[in-house]
Amino acid sequence: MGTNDKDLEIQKYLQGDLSQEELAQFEEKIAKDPDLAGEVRDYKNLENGLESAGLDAFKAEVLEWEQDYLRETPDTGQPALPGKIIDFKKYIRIAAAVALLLAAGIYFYSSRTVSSETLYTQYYQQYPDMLTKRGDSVTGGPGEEFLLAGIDAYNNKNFEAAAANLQRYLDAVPEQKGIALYLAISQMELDQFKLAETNFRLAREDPAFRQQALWYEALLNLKAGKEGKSKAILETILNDEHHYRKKQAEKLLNALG
Amino acid sequence: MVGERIKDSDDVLRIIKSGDRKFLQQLYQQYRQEFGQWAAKRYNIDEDAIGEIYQRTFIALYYNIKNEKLTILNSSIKTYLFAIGKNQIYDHFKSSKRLAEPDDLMINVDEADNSILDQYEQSDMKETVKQLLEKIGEPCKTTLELFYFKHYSMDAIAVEMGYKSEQIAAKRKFICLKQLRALLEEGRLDGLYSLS
Repeated sequence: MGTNDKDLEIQKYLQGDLSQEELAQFEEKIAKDPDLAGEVRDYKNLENGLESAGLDAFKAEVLEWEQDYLRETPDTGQPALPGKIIDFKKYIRIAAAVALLLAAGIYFYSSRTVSSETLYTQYYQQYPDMLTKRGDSVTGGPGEEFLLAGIDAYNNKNFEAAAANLQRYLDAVPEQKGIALYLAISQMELDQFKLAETNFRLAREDPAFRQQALWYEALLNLKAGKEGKSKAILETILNDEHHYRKKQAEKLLNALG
Repeated sequence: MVGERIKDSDDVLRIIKSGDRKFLQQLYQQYRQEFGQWAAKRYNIDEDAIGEIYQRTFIALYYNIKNEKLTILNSSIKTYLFAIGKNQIYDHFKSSKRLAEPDDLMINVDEADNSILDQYEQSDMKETVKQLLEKIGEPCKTTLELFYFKHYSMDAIAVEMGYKSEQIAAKRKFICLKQLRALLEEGRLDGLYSLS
C-alpha cells in the first residue's frame, strides 16, 4: 500500500505541516468533496482512538509504578525512596547489584523451596477501588445500592458482604462485567475458588478489566495450589507486550520454576 | 549517562517529552512519598485516594508536557506537579461530594489542568483501534505503538525500526495509518464497526 499526492497532503494536514495558504486550500477541498471529508474524519478518529489506547497503556504503566511504590514502602510510613535529586550513577550501580542478586537468586532457587502459598502472599495485593472514587461508573442506575454497598464492603475488607452485594448488582446489571473483577477478588479472599474463577473469566470480557482479571486469576490458581494453571495464565500475560503486570508475571514465573 | 543529560529545566522537559520510561518512573517515585504526606496532612485525604490522585496527577503532568501545553518551566517540576495535584484533589472533593474543600484549592493554575486528557478519555474509537492493531501485523503494529503509545519522535522511530530517515519513518507511519483505515473499512462492510 503506497502513497500518492492526496495522501501526502492528508499526511501533512494531520501532522500540522501545511502552510496557512495550503491549509485554507485543503479545507476548501474538504468542504467540496464529501469522500475526502470522510477519509480525513476517519484518520482523525483513528488517531484519537490510538491516543486513547495509548493513554490506557500509560495508565497501566503508572499503576504498576504505584504498586511498586506500595510494595517497597515499609508500613512505618518511611519513604521508599528518599526525596532527593535522582542520582542516576547510584541508580545504575544499585540496578546492577540487584540484577546480580536476582541472577544469583534464580540460580540458587533453581530447585525451588518457596511454596505457592508464600508466593501468593508475596505477590497478592488487593486491587484498588477504581470505581466509586473516580465517580465515573456509579451513575444511579439499577442496582446502584448493591454496587455502592458492595464496593464499600470491599474497601473495608468485609469480603462476605462485598461478594453478596456485588453478586446482587451483577444479577441486576449483568452487562457490567467489569464489576465481576471485584466480586471474584472477594471470593478469592474467601477461598471460593470455583466461583472466583468463573467471575474472573466474566471480568475478562470487559476490555477495561481484562488485564487485571488475568493477573488475579493467575494468583487465584496459585492460592488454590494449581501451579500449572497459574503458569499457563502467566505465560499468556508475558505474551502481551503491554500487560501492566508483565514484569511481575515474569518474576513470578521464574520463581515458580 | 542519563543523569549527565539533565542540565536545566529545559532538559527535564525534553526528557519527559521523549517518553523516557526510566526517567519517568524515577520521577514518579521521587515525589510520591512527599506528595502523599502533603495531601494527607493538608487536605486530610486517605492513603488509598492519594495513590489514585497521584497517578492521575502524574499522567496529567506527562501529557501536558508531551502535548506542549507546558513548554517552559517557570518553577521546579515539583511545584508544577503539586499544582496539578491541587486541581486533582479539588476534582476528588467534587466527585466524592465532599462539601468543605480547603479554600486554597480554589486557586487554579491554568497550565496545570488535565483537560487535555478528556478528549482521549472520551474517544469512541479506542476499543475498535485496539482490535485493529491486533489485525494489522508488523511492522505497522510496532510503528504505530511506538508513536502513539510510547510517544517516540519520528527520529527515534527511524532508529528503532531501521528506517533510513525520520521522513521515511513519517511516511511509513502514514502508510500504517492508511492500512488501519483499510481494516476499518473492511470491518464496516462486515458490520463489525459502526459507520460514524
